[in-house]
Amino acid sequence: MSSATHQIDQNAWLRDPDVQRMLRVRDDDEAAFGELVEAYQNRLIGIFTHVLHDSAAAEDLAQEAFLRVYRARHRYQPTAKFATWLFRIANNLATNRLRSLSRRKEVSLKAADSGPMGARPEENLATEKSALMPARHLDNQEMREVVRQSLDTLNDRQRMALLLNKFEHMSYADIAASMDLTVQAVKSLLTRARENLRLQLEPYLTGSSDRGSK
Amino acid sequence: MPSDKKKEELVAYLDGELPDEAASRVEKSLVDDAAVRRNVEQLTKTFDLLDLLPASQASDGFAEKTLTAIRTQSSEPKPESTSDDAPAENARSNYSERATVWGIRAAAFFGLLFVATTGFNGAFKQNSEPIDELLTELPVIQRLDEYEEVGNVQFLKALSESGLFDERDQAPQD
Repeated sequence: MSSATHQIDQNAWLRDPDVQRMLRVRDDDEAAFGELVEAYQNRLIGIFTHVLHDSAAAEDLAQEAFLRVYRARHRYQPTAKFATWLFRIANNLATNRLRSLSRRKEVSLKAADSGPMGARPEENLATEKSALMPARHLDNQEMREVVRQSLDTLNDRQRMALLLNKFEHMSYADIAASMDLTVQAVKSLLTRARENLRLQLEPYLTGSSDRGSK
Repeated sequence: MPSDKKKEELVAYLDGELPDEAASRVEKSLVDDAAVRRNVEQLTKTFDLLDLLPASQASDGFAEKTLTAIRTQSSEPKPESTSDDAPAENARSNYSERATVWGIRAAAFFGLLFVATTGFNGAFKQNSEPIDELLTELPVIQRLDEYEEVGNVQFLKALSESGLFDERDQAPQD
């Protein structure tokens, strides 16, 4: 990359108002940090809630993300949009939390009594799902639950890429930077995520053309 | 059913991520192929259904709690940097932090060594006085059982001065 192109890229990042705020935070401007918290708290908590299904845990992780931003403030140098960096931190936190939750689940499953004590979890889910099958028209609350369950069928990376794409309106390049992936990898992830979502929700599409967009 | 490559192109087209030439190809296929049109319609509608998910709101006081947490952090020693941190200053700060940590460890080691040595010498000196006393009284200790049988030192003295058991005055008997 030529130095002129590199300079243009640097200026592009500097035009990001949140990068400007972060540069003020670097100079120990606490008010600027408060502005960043206000601007991103709901967005961060939203992503974490969709990933963890636990609003308290989502808030804990959101706070941890902000703390990491603050700790790194004196060493901050803008090399991307601020949101890209913030959601990179968020992705790392979410990945670590999911990993530790899955380890705990493995341990508790091993320790659990393996005898038949009623319906297996898969059977319960099947029963739940059959109650929501589109034999009848679903109201918004039921449909919301169907959508949430469909999102849960995605793997962690597909889900995160989809959430960043949908709710943060991130470009493939920004998602790639946040998730430490190539753009091609993001393209593949999103394609599989969208296709899986389509397959899960296709049965419910009849009569849903008037909902979905808020 | 479109191929994986075709599906990728459709999704990227919907996300506005295709270069112009590829986008034109997709638009042509949308015109020509009903299956592609149906697929794109379903992809769009199911994507839009995500809007039904509830929006999250931070709890009351979240921002204030976060600011309190950073103020608390500011008054604590700086932790080691993480991989999330902006990398520019990490190398220099890591070196000085490591040097400081090793300096503290070295000081602690030598301090401990000093205390241990001083403590040992002091303990040794303190313990040697009773030993000296014992060495001085060793002849008494060796005959303690016999002396205890006698019971009375004054009696022993008197017996000794009586000359009764004086061996020098007794003539040898054949």
